[in-house]
Amino acid sequence: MPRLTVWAVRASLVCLVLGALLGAALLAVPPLDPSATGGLVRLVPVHVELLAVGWLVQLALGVAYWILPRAGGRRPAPRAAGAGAAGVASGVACAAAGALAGAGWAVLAGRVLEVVGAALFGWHVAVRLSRWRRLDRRRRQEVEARAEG
Amino acid sequence: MPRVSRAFVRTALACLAAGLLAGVLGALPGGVGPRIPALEPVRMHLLVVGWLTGLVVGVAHWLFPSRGRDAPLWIVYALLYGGLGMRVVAEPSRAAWGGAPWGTLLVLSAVTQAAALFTFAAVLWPRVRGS
Repeated sequence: MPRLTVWAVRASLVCLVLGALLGAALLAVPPLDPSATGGLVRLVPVHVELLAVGWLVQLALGVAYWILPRAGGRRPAPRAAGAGAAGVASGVACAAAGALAGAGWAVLAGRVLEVVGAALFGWHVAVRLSRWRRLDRRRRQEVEARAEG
Repeated sequence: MPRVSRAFVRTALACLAAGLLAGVLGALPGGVGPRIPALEPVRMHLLVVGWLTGLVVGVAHWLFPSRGRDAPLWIVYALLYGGLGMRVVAEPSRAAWGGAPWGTLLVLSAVTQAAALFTFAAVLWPRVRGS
């Protein structure tokens, strides 16, 4: 398993645990203490950020880096993938902290980091898939040529 | 594919169907179909917890290298879908009729779902390592 996958999946598991903890608080506190419900509203965007981007997106990036097809056994543009995963991870942390503190500028900065990170990772995936497609086409042509010959 | 992964994927598909059906019920015009209070959070969690998270947990157990031990994942399955089931019943019931029993069931649902996800993270963590 490549190191980027290990880091991205572990970061996603940390977000899962934090997001689940917040979600449990959001669900359990109102029946226990109805007066605290208003204060919890601020936690909803943090819960959504941690689980939708922190957990699901980071896990998808980590697993994609590991299992997408590799032309010639190599993963192209590894720096773009690494910078992309780091951008998404720091974006989640920034946006979640901003939502918790009520700082709109931090939420915006976090979301921008997430977009840039996802675009960099998308570049890695695009390069990787196009190289693999070319290799696959060449292999098929060789098999057809051999069958005709 | 391990049996527990198949159970996760099948239950996730059932949650997808239930979540989509809840979306149809919520969008019906006034007077048509039953009015179910607190349907929107239930629908969102059927889709995000029941469908997406259940599918991810089942496939992750299948995909990540393991020593073939399924027992902890069956515990995650029981806690996750048991907790989600309790929420599906308790959240609309509490919104409709109030009362302590529904509140207690919601608290229990919160605890079981959080326990499921903590257990899953603890089970998966040592299986994620460099080669």
